[in-house]
Parts: sequence; structure tokens; C-alpha cells
Amino acid sequence: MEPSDDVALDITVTNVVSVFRTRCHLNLRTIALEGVNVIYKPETGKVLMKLRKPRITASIWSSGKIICTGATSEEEAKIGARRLARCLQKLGFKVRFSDFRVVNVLAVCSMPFQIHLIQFAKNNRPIASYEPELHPAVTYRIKHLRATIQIFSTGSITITGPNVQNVASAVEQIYPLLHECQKALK
Amino acid sequence: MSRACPHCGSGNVVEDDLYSEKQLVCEDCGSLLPEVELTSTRTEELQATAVPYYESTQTEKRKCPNLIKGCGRLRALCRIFRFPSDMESSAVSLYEGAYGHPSFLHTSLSKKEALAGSCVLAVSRMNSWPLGMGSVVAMLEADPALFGAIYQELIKCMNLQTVGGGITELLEGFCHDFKLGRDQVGAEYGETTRELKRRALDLLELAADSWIVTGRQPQPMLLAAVYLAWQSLSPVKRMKVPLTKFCVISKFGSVKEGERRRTAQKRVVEMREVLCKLGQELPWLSGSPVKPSDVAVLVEDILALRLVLQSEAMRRHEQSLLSETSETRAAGDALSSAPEAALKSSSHSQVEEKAPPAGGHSNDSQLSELPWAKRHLFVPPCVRVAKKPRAEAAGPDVTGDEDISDGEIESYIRTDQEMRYIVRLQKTLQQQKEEEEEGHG
Repeated sequence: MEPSDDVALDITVTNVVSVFRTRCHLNLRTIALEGVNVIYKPETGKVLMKLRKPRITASIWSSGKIICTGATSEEEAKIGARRLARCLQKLGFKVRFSDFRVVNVLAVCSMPFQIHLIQFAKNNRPIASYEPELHPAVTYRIKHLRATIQIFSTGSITITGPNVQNVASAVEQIYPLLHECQKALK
Repeated sequence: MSRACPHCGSGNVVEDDLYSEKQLVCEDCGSLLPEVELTSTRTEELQATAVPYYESTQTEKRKCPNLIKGCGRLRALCRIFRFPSDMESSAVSLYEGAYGHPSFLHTSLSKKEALAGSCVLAVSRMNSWPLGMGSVVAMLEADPALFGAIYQELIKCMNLQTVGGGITELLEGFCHDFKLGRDQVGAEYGETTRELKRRALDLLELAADSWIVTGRQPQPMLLAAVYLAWQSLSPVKRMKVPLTKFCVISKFGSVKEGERRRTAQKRVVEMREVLCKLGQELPWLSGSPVKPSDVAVLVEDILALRLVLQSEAMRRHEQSLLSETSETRAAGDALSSAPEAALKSSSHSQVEEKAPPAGGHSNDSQLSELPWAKRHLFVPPCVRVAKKPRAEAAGPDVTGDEDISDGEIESYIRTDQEMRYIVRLQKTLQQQKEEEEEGHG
């Protein structure tokens, strides 16, 4: 298979992390008492709230900053964050949904071939870093996309980036480099 | 400062040093100019100013005591690992340069110690000196995760170009850790380091080709290779000796090495599987299966004929896959065309006659239909054949801006009755806790 052929790679987004602010102080004890699916962590000063639909977990701080994790798309992250803000409104807080932004997107993709990690690290030094005594995968950072790719010998790769578009671009960029390092036993 | 005389306007004003107090006098009219400033600026005062230490006594900036201690520790590490003097001096200069970097200057002492070890490792890699990260971590008794983070930070901050040490380079030093001299363990178990290293190197190359080495920790792999090499050098007497007994005989490692030994045992099993797959192809065995417990006898022959056996094993694997896929296809065709079999039997025979000339293309297409993990004989051990994807229910088609109904939100808020129950429960639990504490007190 030549890298120039059109190859359909399934990129599965597994996690989207987003943040937003409520612009008001939140009483964590009230949220812990009146909210369902809530875990209060007084030692760290936050409350964890889980929503069923979409399946997201939110870390809520008394300053009004909230981090949402677990969504599988940017749109789901937004609807989940809005749902959470509505929930806090119903609890009696004067919430204004503001400064929503997606902070991190984690995706996985599987190549249809094994990858010779030592060869890949040699070909792409110093962008690629391979320390088998620390981690079994090669770490490849693309600065202009702010994306980090971890490449395993089985052909699986995990990509983290600031948004889905950057993640897709990162996969497009890395594929030809991986293809030239695939190894078949002769 | 040039001033004009307020009486005649002349600029010819001089300082009169006749008396102890300096005065400004106009030469043309002889009038005395009044003093403008009763006080002078700090820069004009030359006497009675405090002289800072660095201008008078200090000749050079003193080194931080922690830096001096760190350099001492680094030199000790270099001596333990027997670095030549030029490598030691470059390690020290790298440490002094990195110590002043903002990333390392205001950090904890444990991180500074890890920095010293990282400098040793970086210099060893730049000079292709065989030294594993695990050895440095063990010497410092540092947290491996912390050490790894500091090492990568060092590479990034100082823009170093280091070449990662290959596993085969670590083998020679590793072999010297085993006390297997004939005078130490006897003729039955004794082995020279040279023979051990040569055989272990061949086994490591085979393991690397079979995807057992990539992405794995090197030390368990090295232990497994040395153990199998030692067994194969005198298999009749050593076949029944397990890995743990081998470590005791050779006085390798300590009780803390338990986890590493368990991992090494897994690598031994994986390598024996590979050796069995290749051993089956030996001509005098005629394809009969080889047991992992008996493969030690065949290791020497397998390594000598490695390339031929590998190609034979791949060819046999492809043939078996082709026969499996053609059987499943034939079974599928037979099921689908059973009612029409009587009418179309002549056409089937024509298709079968045409099959051989087009066999090569159809073989490739049949093999390409299989998942790649099944196609290859040697794959990374953690690869599993992909399961059939479940027919997942399509997720909600969301845009992020839909309306949110009150009913959805109400499900996340407790009712008043639930809240009363919760408060009562919390009070009861709190009381029970206090009673227990009083009882213990």
C-alpha cells in the first residue's frame, strides 16, 4: 500500500475537555446537598457532578470555574456544559454561561501495519522521542498544530490537540512518516 | 556646571579655591554667586558613600553550595560508571550549565539530584557509552517517573542531540553481572562471558525481528536472553533449571528484583514460542510440533539457520491462511448455491479449471481481506485480533445550541424530601462517628 493511495483511517474521538465560567460564586455545600450524582471533595475544594446525557463529568469550583470532561465531540461538550449551567441555575445560582472553550481533544487511530519504533525515532529526531524505559510509545510533537502523538508498535496512535481539526491534520501529517517505517518480517 | 553671573550676566564664573570652602566667583565683576543647591545629589557625593561588597572585596561570584554538592555527586557517579576524564568534565560542565537554567534553578533538591543523573545519562548517550536509564535510577534510588521527566526537560532546555542506547549495546555490561565462572559455579553451570554474550546477542536479534523487544523495558529482555543463552549452551544439564534458580546460581539481583524477574519470565515464554515456531521448520523434524520445554536443545540449530527458517515459517503460515479462507469460501458458496448445484455443475468445473492461472492474484486478495494481525506470523504480543465491531446505536446528532427542557434538568435536582433524608443521615453518621471517637478515647 502506497501512502499516496486514499486510505480511510478511523479517527475516534474519545475525550473532549472544555471549560466555562458562571460569573458568580457557587456554594459547593448547596450543590452537594441538592444535586444528584454529585461528589463533594472538600480537601481539594471542588465538587464533581456527573451528567447522564451526554456522559460528562464536571469539576465545579466555588469561584465559578467549571471543567467538563468525557464528551465525545465538541458539540456534545457544549450541550453538556449548557445543561450543567442550567442545572446550577435551577439550584438558585445566578449563572451566566460564558467563556466556553474546548481546551483539549483526545483521539485514537489504528494503522493497518506494525511500526518499527526505533527506526521512526531515528528518522524523526529530535521531534520524536523514544525512551522504552519510560514509556513503550514514541512521542511526536507537532508544534504548529500544538498536537502530541503517541505511537505504539502495534500501529495504534493516540493524538491530543486543542481541537478536532488540529487532531485530523496531525493524523494526515503523521501517516506518511509512519508508512515508511512499517516493517514486515521477510 | 556653567552658570551666568546674576549681576553682569557674564558666563566667566570660576571656582575659588583660596579658602577651604569652594565658592563661585564672577571674574568680570567679582561678585559672589549664591549657592543654588544646599544639598548635592547622591551621584555627586564621592565621600562617605557605602561601598558594596562586590566592588571592593569579592573577586568572583561564589558557587551555590547545592551546586558544589551536586557536582561532587555527579563526579562520584562518573567514577562508578568508569567514565573517561573527558566525559566526566563534559558532564560537569553540562550540569553547571543546566543548574542555572530557570527550569532547574528553583526546584527541590531531589530534582537537582535527578538532574545530576540526567546529565550523566545524556553524556553517556552522546558518546555512545552503554548505560541504561535503569542503572542510573537504581544508583540514585530516585523515582523513575521523576527522573524521566527531568531527563526529557534537560534534553529540551539544553537542545541536546542524544542517541537512544540500543538494547544490544547494554548486553556486554549486563553479562558481566552474572557470576558464572567455572571456578565459581562448577563445570556443570559454568560459562564464559564471551560465549554467553555471543549466544544472547543472536537471541536478542531474533527477538527484535519477532516484535518482542520493541516498546519493552530492556532489562527483563536482557535477563531472558542471557538465561536462554545459558540454557542452550549446555541444554542437557540445564534444561530443567528454572529462571529463579539460574538467578540464585549466578548471584544475580536481589529480593527487590521480584517484579523484574516476573516480567523476564514472560519474555522467556514469548521467546520460547518464537523458537518453537521456527523449530518446527527444521528439516529433520518434518514439521512436528516443538514443545517450549524441549526447545533449548534446538536453539543452536535454529539460530544458525534463522533466516531460512523464518522464510519457511512465513510461507507455511500464508499457505495455512489461504487454505482456511478458501475452505470458508467454498462452504459459503456451497450453502448459497445448493438448489442450483445440479444445473450449474458444468460451469463450476470450468471455474475451477480457470482458478490455477489466476491463483496468485486471488491469494493476495484473499489474504488482504484478513486483518493484518492474522496475516503476519510474528506480531507484537499485545496485538489481539480485532473483534467484530458492535452495531452501536448512533449518538445524538447535537449541534450544541439546542434548547434544554426543564424536565431534563429536574432529574439532576433532589426533591425536598430527599434532601431532608440526606441531612438526617449525615447527622446520624456524624453522631455515630463522635460516639466511636469518645469510646476509643
